[in-house]
Amino acid sequence: MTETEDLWAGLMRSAIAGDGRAYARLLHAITPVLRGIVRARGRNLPPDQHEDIVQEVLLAIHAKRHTWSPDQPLRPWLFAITRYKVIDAFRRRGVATHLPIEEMAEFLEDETAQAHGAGAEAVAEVAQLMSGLDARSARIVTAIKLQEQSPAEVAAQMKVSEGTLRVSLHRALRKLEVLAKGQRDADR
Amino acid sequence: MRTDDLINSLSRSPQAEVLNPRALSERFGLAVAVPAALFLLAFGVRPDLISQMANPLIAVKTLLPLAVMGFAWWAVTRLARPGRVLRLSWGWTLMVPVVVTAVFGMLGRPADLWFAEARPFYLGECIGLIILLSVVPAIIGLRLASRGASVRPRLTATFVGLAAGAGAAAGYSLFCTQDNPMFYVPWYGLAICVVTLATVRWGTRWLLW
Repeated sequence: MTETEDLWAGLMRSAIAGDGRAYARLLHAITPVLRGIVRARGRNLPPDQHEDIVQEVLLAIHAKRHTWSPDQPLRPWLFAITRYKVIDAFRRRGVATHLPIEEMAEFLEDETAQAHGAGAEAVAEVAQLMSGLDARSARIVTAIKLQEQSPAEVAAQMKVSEGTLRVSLHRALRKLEVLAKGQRDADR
Repeated sequence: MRTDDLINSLSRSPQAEVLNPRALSERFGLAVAVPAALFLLAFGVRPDLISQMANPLIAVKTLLPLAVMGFAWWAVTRLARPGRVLRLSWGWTLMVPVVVTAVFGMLGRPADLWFAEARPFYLGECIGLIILLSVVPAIIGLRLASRGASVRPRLTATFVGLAAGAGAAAGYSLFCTQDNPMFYVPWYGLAICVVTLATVRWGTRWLLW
């Protein structure tokens, strides 16, 4: 099983058990993939209709989510639904399309690879910027902005007042902004 | 509507009761059994049913349609979940006992008596009653199948019709006294085919989503 499969299947399991946030994360994660498929296949359609088809697929996924079996992989289920709805949507708009299942799997691998690539670049960029901060500031930014811990919690861990922590965070962010601007100027 | 807004709206109702093929099968079983039971209560089962069932050529008249129904409904439940690998071709092996039964029927009597019971009244009764008994199972079978998400609605409708027709034939066989395999193999088969074609013709639209 791939990382994407595990992540998406986990989100879907939580979703059908009633976790709305997991469901939103899943739908947000698959939407770019759906968009890519529709864009690639719907060159004969006006672009404003592409998003309508993406929404039709999302609605179908929602309406039929109970047909996914939690002990089965999610992606084959998702591909089958997407393929069926995309072909149906194109047919109703008078545009024929052919969507082999293997091609969809390849498409997803590409999207996932791109997402991983973009993610890895972003992580490297953040790490480089953070190296410009002192250890204490870096710890504050990591805890509050990346790990989403509450300022009160971080202040207690670092044995400082919350007010002091907020001032330190503000200064660290300003410094990061300057560092990022310097890096952008250097890249031009 | 923006896609983000749609996602936010959908994520407000994430919970879903996972499709349960066993519950679907139980309901379909009831949809087959109830009309058949009512018919048999009204018109009675054939005389000496239990002792007659000891004869394999009479027992297969009920068991073969039951096997076809079981396979066809299993296929419906497999098709209800998209993305699964379907291996349905083994179902053709059910044709082996059908052909063997017909051959036994041919060997059991002279060729000029093979179709001796094929008179209009018997044919009308047999085909008409099987079709009648399959109406409720076919309608309920389609409704149950529509809870799934078949990406091959026509094939699913075919299997619903096959299951409904075969189930009705199994029920009717407990009433029927025509024990010549050269009667029940072709005419039960014809009735099941009519039910299947009608279900595909009028039922496929119920399975579109």
